[in-house]
Amino acid sequence: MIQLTSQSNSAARFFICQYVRDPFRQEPRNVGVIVESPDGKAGRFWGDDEGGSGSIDGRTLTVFADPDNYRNWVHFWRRAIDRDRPSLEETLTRANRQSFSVVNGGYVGDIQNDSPDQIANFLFKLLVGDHSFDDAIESSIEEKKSSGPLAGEVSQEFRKLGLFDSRQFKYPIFRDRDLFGKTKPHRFNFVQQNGTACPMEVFDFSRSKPKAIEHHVGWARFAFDDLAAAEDGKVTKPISLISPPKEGASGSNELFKQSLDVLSGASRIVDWTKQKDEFLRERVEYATGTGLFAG
Amino acid sequence: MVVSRYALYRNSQGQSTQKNSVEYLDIAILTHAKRNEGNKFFIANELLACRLGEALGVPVALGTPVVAPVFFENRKVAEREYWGSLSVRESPPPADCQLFVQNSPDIATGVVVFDAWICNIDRHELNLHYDIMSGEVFLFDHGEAICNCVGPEFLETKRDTLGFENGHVIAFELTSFDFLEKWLARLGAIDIQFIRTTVDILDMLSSTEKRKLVLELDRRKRCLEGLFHKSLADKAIFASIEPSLLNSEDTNDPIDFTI
Repeated sequence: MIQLTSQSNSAARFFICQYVRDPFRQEPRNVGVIVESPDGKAGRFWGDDEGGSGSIDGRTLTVFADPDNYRNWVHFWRRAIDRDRPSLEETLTRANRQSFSVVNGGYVGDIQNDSPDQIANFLFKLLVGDHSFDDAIESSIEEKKSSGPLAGEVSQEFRKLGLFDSRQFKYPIFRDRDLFGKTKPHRFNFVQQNGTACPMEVFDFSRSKPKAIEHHVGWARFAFDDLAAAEDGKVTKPISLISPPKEGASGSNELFKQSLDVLSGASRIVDWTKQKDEFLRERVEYATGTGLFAG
Repeated sequence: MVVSRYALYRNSQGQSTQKNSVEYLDIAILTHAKRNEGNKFFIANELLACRLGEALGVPVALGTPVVAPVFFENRKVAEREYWGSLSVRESPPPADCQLFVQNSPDIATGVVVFDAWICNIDRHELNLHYDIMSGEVFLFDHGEAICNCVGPEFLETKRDTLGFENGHVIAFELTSFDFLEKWLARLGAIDIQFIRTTVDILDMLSSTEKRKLVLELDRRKRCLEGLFHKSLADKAIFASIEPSLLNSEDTNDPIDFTI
């Protein structure tokens, strides 16, 4: 979990880009963040997309008196990030003007293995976007899901069987679908609804980092329990799709066992490496409403 | 009137920025205004650069002198003169000079010729606006050119150079001299009568200063081709020019500085 701090060893420095629309009122508004971490530099600005394609959605620029000028400033900030200059701070602050400026934001601590882009996205939600602090924390957890490439493999198998196709199946599977818990909505990797909703969450123990698994398992248990509390039994028992850690991976076996203990209390565990065919057959039956799932 | 009242507010709040006796003042939506306490030729330089740039055909930002009252304890105690750049709506960021030269080598060459003519020793990415979307470009902040802070003698001291000793961001990025001849020809078409008429509007200069300035600007205009030829191979100024583009025979030609 990223934490804001004064300074620490595994810290990233960040700057806040501000805009003053009316120099008379002197009310700066945060419009971007720039991150400088040991792994590199990154920036996220108002109107651009999370994927970092660099394109700006012009429809979001109505807050600016001169949207084209804002685009020019973003271009300048991106150039400053890309340039290999010794002092990013000097390059940024030297250009400060009345309408646009960059201020030193401080440091983000405990960044672990987060990339500069991830840190920039986190800070952007916190400091710039119309999101609350809780949203930023929540989304950072979801971004840290340990589903890894296994989610892609599962998705591919579902696609092969046509399980995403609502014309082919009466009860298809949906990807990244929100289900409402008692306290809030939770987004699961897959959801299939046949009278009751069946959330499926993927955990890739073989290719994910331990910290990410810890976060993901903890989040999933909370989400499963919250869901059960809300629906009062109307949700089919959630499914935790897992791929076990590779043999000989140090420390991962213990984490695996602990994780299974946590997950099995609120979900059915399916080992993708051993129970794949059986699981897929079951999903097809669920989708058609036949076999065990016949109405 | 709006400009003056706003300037008053900014002054009374003491929020305008000051650096090396140069005071910057952003005036609402109308303009970006600037004054330089330590340079009595500041407004003259700006005004003249604006008119000369227009004559040459380079995109100099429109501007005008702006007078703003100075208040102390709610009483007007003085007036200050600013140069207002009317084209500057909001403060633009430092320009991407490399992109500008790459996309508009023609205009970029014009900027270099213009700055060499008015001996602008202060061209950097902060006094050039280049819009990456529209390609619009304009130049501003010419307070250090022409007379600098010393008067027409400044041009006299720079007779043998382009004035780019401290670097020139556009000259630095130029990759070819394809348009140089065209701009020098344009410059040559500006006659001394136009320069004289333009300098005549500068009420802040004495008649001696005006006369001297007209002669120096005209002289520099005619010497500029020679000055360029002398400097083309200077990597400190034209760093991005491929050596193969320089014709060694041309650059070694003796230069005729006679007028």
